[in-house]
Amino acid sequence: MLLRGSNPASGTGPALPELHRRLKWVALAGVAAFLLIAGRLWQLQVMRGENYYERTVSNVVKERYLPSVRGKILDRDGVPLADNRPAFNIYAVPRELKPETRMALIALLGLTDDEIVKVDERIAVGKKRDPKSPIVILEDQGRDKAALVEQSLARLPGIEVHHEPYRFYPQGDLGAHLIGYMTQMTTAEAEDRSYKGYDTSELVGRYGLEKSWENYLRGKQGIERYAVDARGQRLDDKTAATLIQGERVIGAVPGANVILTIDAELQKLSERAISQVAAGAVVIVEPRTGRLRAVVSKPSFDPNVMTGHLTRAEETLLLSDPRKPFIDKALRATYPPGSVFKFVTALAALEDGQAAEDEVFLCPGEYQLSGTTFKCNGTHGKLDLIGAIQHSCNVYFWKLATERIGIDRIAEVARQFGFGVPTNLGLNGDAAGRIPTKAWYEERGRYKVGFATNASTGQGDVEVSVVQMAMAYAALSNGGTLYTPQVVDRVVASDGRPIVHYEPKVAHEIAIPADALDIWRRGMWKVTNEPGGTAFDHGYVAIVPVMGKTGTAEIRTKARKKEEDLRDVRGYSPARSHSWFAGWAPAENPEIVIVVFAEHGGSGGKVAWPIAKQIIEGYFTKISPRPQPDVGSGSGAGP
Amino acid sequence: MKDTGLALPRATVGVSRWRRFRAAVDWPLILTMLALCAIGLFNLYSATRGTRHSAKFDTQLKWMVIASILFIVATAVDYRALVRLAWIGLGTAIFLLIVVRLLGDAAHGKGSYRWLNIAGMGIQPSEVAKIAVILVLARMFQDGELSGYTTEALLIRLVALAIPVGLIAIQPDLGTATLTTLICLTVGFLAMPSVWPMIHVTLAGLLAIPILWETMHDYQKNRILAFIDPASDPTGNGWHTRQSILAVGSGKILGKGYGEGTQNQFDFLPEHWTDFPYSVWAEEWGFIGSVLLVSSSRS
Repeated sequence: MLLRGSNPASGTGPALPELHRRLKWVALAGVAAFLLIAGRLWQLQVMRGENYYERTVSNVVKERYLPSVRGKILDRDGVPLADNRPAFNIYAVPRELKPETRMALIALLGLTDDEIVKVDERIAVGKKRDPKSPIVILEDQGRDKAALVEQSLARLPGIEVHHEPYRFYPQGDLGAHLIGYMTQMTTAEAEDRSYKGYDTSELVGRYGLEKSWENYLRGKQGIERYAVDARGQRLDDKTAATLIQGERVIGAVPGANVILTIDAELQKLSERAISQVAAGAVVIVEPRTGRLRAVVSKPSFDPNVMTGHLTRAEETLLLSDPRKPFIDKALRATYPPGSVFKFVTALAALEDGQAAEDEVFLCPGEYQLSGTTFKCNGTHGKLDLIGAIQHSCNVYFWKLATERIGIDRIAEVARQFGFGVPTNLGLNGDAAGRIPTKAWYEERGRYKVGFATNASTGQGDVEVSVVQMAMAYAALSNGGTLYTPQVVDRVVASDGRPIVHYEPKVAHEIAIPADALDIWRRGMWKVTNEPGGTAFDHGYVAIVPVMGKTGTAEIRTKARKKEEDLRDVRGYSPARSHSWFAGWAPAENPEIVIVVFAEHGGSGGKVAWPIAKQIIEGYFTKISPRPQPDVGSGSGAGP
Repeated sequence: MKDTGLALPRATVGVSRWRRFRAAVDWPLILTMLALCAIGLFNLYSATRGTRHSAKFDTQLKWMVIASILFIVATAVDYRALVRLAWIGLGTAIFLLIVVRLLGDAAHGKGSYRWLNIAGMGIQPSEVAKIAVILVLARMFQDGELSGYTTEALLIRLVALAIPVGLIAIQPDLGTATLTTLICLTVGFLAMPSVWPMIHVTLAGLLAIPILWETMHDYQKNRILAFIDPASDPTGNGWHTRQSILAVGSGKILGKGYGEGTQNQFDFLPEHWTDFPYSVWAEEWGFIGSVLLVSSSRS
């Protein structure tokens, strides 16, 4: 076939000129190939060279974040509430981690299914971020487990064990809502490049002070730059020095310590006292500064458990608790205040000249208003204003509000005392609460005069937070200065250098006529110091003169019906009234203002007051000891 | 040879043996070869220095010395004498290719049967086959030889040439198989009485690519795809290619300097001393060195 194509007469090969022609073609092909190669080299090395150069540098030079030691959270006396302890974290280099190694590690540590899922998730995230950099797969392993892994490192290529500080709450659940907790970044956050400077495995403040003071507490991570070969093996320092320009190690800056106004001992005392009820809150504030001395929300949780170790089962249990342990009942939640709110009605009426100390009303045990019957908490008979405060008679205040001052006047005075607006504490949500007005009701339908009746005794749609109530009573005790609550006293760098010091902050001065305030205070005095007082009947503090006001806030029937399905937890019945006490001690020049709230606790005098009494007695014996009982000195409390 | 004009300078009567030898030698070719060998050694030193492969430089040097001696011997032998051994050579090559398939050391060749271990010495039968194919081609196109063939005889010879190519392809070593095919096509293009049959064969070969593609294993397809687009599988099949492109590109114009190529020194180029020496060179000597090397090998 091939032969037929050739011409036998001209020999077997091509003629000489033909051969030269073909050689030229071959040479041409050679030149073309050369130009092709040279062109490609030009493209790679000259046009894109810089880009490729940088990529080869990032092949070799790696960065590792050096964790900074997080700042501590300390109470006013330096008692650590959030601290750090050494922990063992297990790291993996995703690219080097072979499936056999993963299995070996799981077997070695006997990991649970939950843990395996977590480990796999983290490896997946690490692979996406930088497969050659080590990431934490298991944090805070015990000394035993860490030792087990360290002994087997030779069999576990790609696994590392590092000793690093780990967040620790030495007081357990003390002030848990206040202190908060930290959790690992979510997968989405870890992939988000905006978390630059955060390691995939790092804990982030999630709640409480840990969250809102993150910027001070966190400090600054250091960076270590080092060189690796293709297998991720670190190169020696001498080689690394030739490859890395600039600083190789930028040290971590430890976080600043946050020093609170909180008194750990008082906090402990308060938590122990409120433990008598299933759920509730205590706020104790210094009346002349607005500094919080104790903030309790119950039930709570152990931040040590929340920070990293919470299993799904525990989480489900906590989330399904009807008492809502994750809601801060001191700062975030709002409740109807009941009779502790009556000072608003009393002061509004007195200021307007619509009420007088000696004006007597008859309490027949109920109040009729256009067909509706409002039931009082007793049949009090003839009472003056101070008697109405002492016995917590509702009819007296219903008359003042409904027949004289109206709902908008109540709202006006309530707002002056800080209700209906956030306190600016800047923690855990800082609720505004609700102070309804005529306009508020009209927006939602129709205003009825009965709404004023309800509002006058802190019922109906009035809702306040426990901390708001504490700030309002602080203002009552100090003559009208409403403070912004303050929980952080100062921030101090790890070396002791002060960074910020927070001075007490006045929200505003409330113009309360002195005589009006005096009438209210005398009523409060009787509540806790004279027979018939709603508190006195359930206990009396002998060690120091105390004055206060109880409150029993009824639950609205609608809500009651809805919540009746919920099972009782340790005597927690959602149908029961909220129990309040607000007051201060000593009666003159008070050191502390205290508000105790027992959620669905029942009667204020019966439940909240004994708790407050216990705290006050504890405070004045242990924390700020008084000279021994001084029973008769009550007279000083009057004007 | 009288017709072709390609004959080497003829020895002249009365000239010394040495002078005849010198006249017979293709100096530019030898010098280019020596230069490439020197550059290769020089580059290998950088590629293996300080690694567990540093002994490879000594081995290479040792073999170069041995090869130089063999080279001189081979040069002294009239290559026309070798042509007479062409068919025996091809037979040996085919035999070795079959042996390597049956007994070869697959581990050495990373999953393909390329290496034979003979007396502690690794050899690749495909290298023997390449030379044998060249000799057979030379034999076939020798004066008068081609015209004497019947169609059947020619077909038998073509099949004989196709056998080693096929055996190499199934090792698998697609690179060497392609190279051997190109050798055949180039010789045919230069030596055939008419170029048209070669053009037809080439076109037919190109048309056969889709059919070949269908018969290939997935991993083979993946390798080819990864070669065309390394980004498609950056950590698997594309890893070598991508890292070698990074190495070449990062050399920029002047290179990173001898022994300073990070891709090379820190093993980002796998098997760089054997599979990617050019990338090593390009990284350390940049565009200028790379172009010089390519042009010198073309001269």
